[in-house]
Amino acid sequence: MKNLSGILLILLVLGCENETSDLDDILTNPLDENQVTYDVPAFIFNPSQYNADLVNTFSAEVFAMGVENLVGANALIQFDPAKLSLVNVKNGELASGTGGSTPMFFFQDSIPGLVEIVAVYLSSDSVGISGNIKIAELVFSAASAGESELEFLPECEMLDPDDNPIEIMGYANGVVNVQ
Amino acid sequence: MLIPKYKLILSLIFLASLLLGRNSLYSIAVLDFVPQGVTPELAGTLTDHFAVELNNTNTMRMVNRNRMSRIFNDKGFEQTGCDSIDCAVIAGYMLGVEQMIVGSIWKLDTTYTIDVHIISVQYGKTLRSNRITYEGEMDGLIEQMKLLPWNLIGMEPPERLAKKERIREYTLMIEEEKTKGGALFRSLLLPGFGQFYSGKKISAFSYVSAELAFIVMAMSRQSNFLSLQSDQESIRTLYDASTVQEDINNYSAQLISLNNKIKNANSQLMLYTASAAGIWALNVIHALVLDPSFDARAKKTQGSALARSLLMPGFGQLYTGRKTAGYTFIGLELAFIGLTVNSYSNSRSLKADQEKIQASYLAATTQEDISAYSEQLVDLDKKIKAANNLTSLFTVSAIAVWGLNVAHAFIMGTGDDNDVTTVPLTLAYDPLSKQTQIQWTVHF
Repeated sequence: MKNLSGILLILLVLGCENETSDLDDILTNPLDENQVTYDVPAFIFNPSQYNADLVNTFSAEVFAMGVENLVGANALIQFDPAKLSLVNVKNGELASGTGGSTPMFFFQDSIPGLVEIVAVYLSSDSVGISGNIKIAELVFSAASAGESELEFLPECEMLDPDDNPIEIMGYANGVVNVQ
Repeated sequence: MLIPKYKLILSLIFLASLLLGRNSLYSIAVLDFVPQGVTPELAGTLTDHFAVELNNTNTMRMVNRNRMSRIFNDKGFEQTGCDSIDCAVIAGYMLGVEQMIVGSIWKLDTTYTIDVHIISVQYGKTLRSNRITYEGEMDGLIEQMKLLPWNLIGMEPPERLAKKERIREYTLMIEEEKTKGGALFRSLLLPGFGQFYSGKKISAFSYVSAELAFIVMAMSRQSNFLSLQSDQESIRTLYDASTVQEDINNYSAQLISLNNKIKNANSQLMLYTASAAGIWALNVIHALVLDPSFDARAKKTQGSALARSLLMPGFGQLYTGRKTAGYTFIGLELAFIGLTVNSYSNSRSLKADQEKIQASYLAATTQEDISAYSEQLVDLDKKIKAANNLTSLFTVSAIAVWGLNVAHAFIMGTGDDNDVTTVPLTLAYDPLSKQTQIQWTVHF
């Protein structure tokens, strides 16, 4: 009887505890410089994880993170064509024509499982833009269930107004989980 | 030779009073019952109740008690402590009555014992005696005092008194049927109910109040937790959608602050729930230790001392009459609890400061600001750790005092075997060693 009461009391106390999340599980924005493990400037996917299904499409945003004075970006992204199918590529902020710049954006997806994006910020004063900049938005549909990766290739480039390459310090690939 | 003369004079006074005040009823006077363990005022009040009821029997002619006091004052007779036959005879001669009633009221723990004697003044003999033992509330004692004259003279008490007595006996019978199992079951069902059943009303209300207080506090924390969690969800959505570093930092700081608050609310919820469960467990132990039978109520037991000390440090010691130890434990416990609360409050205040500075640190863009905030954060972190260490130390000390108090109450028991009031030193001459030896006995 006493043992039973003791067990009931312990269960009562434990049952009243709420589940709380660790900060690591909350602060998951891949653009948060204070949380991420990679250095900047970096090419990243935002968000870093995608839970997709076989019916609906999903969008993966490509960002140049923590850059200074960026005018051009060339991003090469590889994915598993057996699991994912590229539906569309939308222009981001860099080549959107803001600030009186001339928009220049194109992509190449002729090779299955590979997409190359070129975005250039052509302004009259030859000054680039800084911060976290969305380069493009990739729209995918899932072909089969399973986990796959959206991977940046090392041939990616960032350029400053003098056409010099900006050293890319990190990459954050995206993970897609199709159910 | 003085005594026979004195007796002769008293006899003459007695005979004269008999001749002058001859009546078919015996004349009688009631002396104040001698108090033993009760106040003289209480003894006087109870004697008054007895005398009034004796008068209601209409079997004797009573001397007015005010008149009696005046006569004693005039003659310089001190009636305090008068419960012997000789004293009653002297008082009877002074008052000119045929019979005197003397008695005494004893109180031991919660038990009252009342002895009453009818003394023949003329013959100096006890004519009738009666003794009652009573345990319970004052109202019941007064009823017993009213019943006593009827029993003393061998008459049936009137219905108004007999009815009350039957109710009391029935109540006692029910109380005697109370068992530990009944108390345990009730206390398991709801804290305090076992104690209420056992007649421990203060304990019962304490358990009920404490349990309700902790449940209300736990519910309040749970509500706070849910509200904070909702805020966190909203801000997390904004944080995840942010792409500008400044916004990210701002929302990140808010999320960190909210996460700390959520964890605090959850810890407090656990603490209050554990406290409520602890009170429940204590209440069950207490109900189990209590002996709800009527006879056991006044008996001080080791179990009761243990339960009291478990409930509140020092209470077990106060119960067993060790006031110094009791107040020491209470003082120490309150001091450590106070210090714990103070350190905890200090730690919370420092944490709030840390959160504010952390937000500024995350929002800072210049290296100078970042360094300044960073130094402040490091300094605050040290202070928080120190405050947390102190909180832990005081908490452990409070728990240790509690544990020590329980062990002390358990080991010392009711203290019937140990006379702690005597000096624990023995000085004796040892003929073998031809030395004087001093022995010091430690009671623990």
